[in-house]
Amino acid sequence: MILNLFLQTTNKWKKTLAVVFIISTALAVLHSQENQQTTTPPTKQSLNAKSLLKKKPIDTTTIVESNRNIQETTPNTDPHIIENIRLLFGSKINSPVIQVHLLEKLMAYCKNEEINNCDVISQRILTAAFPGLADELNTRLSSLIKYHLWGREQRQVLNQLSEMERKRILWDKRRSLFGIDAELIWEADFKNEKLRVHIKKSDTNTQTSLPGKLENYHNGIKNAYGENSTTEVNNNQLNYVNQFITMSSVQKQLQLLPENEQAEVLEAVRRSMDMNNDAIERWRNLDQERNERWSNGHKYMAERGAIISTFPEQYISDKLDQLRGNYFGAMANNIKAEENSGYYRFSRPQIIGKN
Amino acid sequence: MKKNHTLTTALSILCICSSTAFAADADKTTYPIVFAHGMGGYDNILGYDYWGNDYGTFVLDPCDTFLEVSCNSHINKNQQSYISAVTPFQDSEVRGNELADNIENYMATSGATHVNIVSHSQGGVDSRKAAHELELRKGYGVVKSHISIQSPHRGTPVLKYAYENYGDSLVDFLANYYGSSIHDSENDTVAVAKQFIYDDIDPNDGVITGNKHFNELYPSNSSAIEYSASILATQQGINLNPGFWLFWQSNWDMDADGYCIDDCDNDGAAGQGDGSVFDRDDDGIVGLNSMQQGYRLEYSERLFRFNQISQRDDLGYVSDLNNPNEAQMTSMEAVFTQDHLDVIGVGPDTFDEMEFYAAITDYIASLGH
Repeated sequence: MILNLFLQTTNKWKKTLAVVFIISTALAVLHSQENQQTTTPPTKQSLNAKSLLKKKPIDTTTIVESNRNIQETTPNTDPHIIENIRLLFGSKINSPVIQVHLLEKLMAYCKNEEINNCDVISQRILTAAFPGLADELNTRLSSLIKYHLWGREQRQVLNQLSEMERKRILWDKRRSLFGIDAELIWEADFKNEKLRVHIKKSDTNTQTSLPGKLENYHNGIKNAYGENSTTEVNNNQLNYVNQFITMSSVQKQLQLLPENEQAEVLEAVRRSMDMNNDAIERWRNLDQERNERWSNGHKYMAERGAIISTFPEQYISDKLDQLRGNYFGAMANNIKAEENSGYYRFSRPQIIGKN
Repeated sequence: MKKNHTLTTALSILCICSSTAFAADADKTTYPIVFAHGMGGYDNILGYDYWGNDYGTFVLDPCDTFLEVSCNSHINKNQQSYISAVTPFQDSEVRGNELADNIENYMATSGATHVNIVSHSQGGVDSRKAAHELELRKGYGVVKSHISIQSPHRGTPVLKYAYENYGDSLVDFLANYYGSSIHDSENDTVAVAKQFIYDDIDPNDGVITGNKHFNELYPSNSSAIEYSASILATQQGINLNPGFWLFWQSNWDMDADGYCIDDCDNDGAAGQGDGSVFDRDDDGIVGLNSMQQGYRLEYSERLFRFNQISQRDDLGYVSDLNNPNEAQMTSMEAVFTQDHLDVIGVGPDTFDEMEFYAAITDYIASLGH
């Protein structure tokens, strides 16, 4: 099955590798003179062998040796082992998330230990451990392997797409392989994506007031996270504040407000994310400190510009050192190092409530 | 049969550990953990795609709601953490400053006086800048532990290769790996490339760039960071994530496990090759001889048991980032096998991100941080 998937690829060099793999497998079978019928996945050993083929003539000994493991048979399905798998995963095995967790554990182990017929071995273990769920688990395993192969093959193509298009294709694939369970397996991604779409839509609305936007934002969180929305926000208060205030439609409105009104809005946003009084007070101090930093920085940049345009070149360096010392004290050397690398921190935009 | 026997034996371990496998295995850290991402950032609004497993669940999301299964069962339910997001493509002066702002914000929100930082890739370099910036702002060292994962502390030949071969089309070239978001206006890919070429690539452009200069300004051992360590991972070329195949198609791979001071072979990173190009000496983006800062940590994976991180004292401590010793640049000891993207939530792969970050959390907790 995996071999078929492997061969379905349109990638030219992978096809070449697949052909070499088939030949090497045939050699291995002939050499061992065993007539076992095997379904052989592309193996790590065989891929390594193929990489060697790029560099030097075919070494059939290496290939035959590397494929010996393909002849492996079913592991001992000792009741003791099976019982322990049940103990470890049994209580939640009906959850698609736990099922995938178990399957990935088996896949990871096969990969690390370079076990070749992992799918066959895993299927037999799963059937012995959870006979009532054998079909479901084996189908899930097959889907997971397909998803892994597809994901690795499509990575670069997906990277080149827009965020929205990439997400659409990912979700189409997940749903086609895992059905409705995809939304449970990728629950975090599903909820987050739901909120992301909501925020994006909300951000395009430039007519709504800031309180209206905040209410809409919380509705989006509730819609995405349901009864767990309070816990979700409490665990990520700062990120939820940042996500709101960095919406371009929100930041634009904040930038237009006088400092005292900015402070009121920021406090309302933070309180809406359940920040307590101590946190509000710390933020009040930080906002004030930052406003002073920016004000100081803008004055410095203006004076810096004046020095550069006024003084002869040989005096500029000393003048700037003195200026930085006056404005920034202990931070002066840091600012100088940044400027030497081409970075002027006060030339970058201030994002109200964030920097 | 041998492999089957191994699997059988390994599965037998279940009887020893099954009762604890779904309990909280990682102790809670004293100070919150801040996650600092690498170049590119992520799609997902809260950063879960990057600092998540392949299913989008945040690696330090505790199982704290009724019957919750999309969470990390190894994490203490009171563990505090924060995911920082900075400009995806900028040099580490800019991103380090943004990270400092974010940490300052988190400290105001949580009331924390100190933090630990776990960083990946460029995030490790950003973090050193952020720690120094925070020390200046606060008047004390804010960062207790900084653990960098696969960070290019001494540059990477990949960006020199890209800078020299793709020149004006550098943005389009990098978009093959990082997606179309690279075209956003706040990004500066040329600045990123110059940052991660070890020496100052253009002495005539009026600015000083490169890791070497940056390392002198922002060392890993100072009052700004109490404990520095790094986790190293590499992968053999053919097993690299297909995201790196473009390099392979152009028949280019770095050779990054030879020793010398500074960039003696002029490939863009400190150290040199050992003459064997296609071995497991890089992770697709960063070479082995660029990754260690502070102590080297070893990640031990144990099937169905809680994985562990431990410090490798025998490899010493990299205090001067521009002058590591030969073993620190070339030893494969404690280098586990994963490529640059496997350890973050860019799937699909079989790497267990949940256990990995739980083990890091537990290690930081063991330091009393």
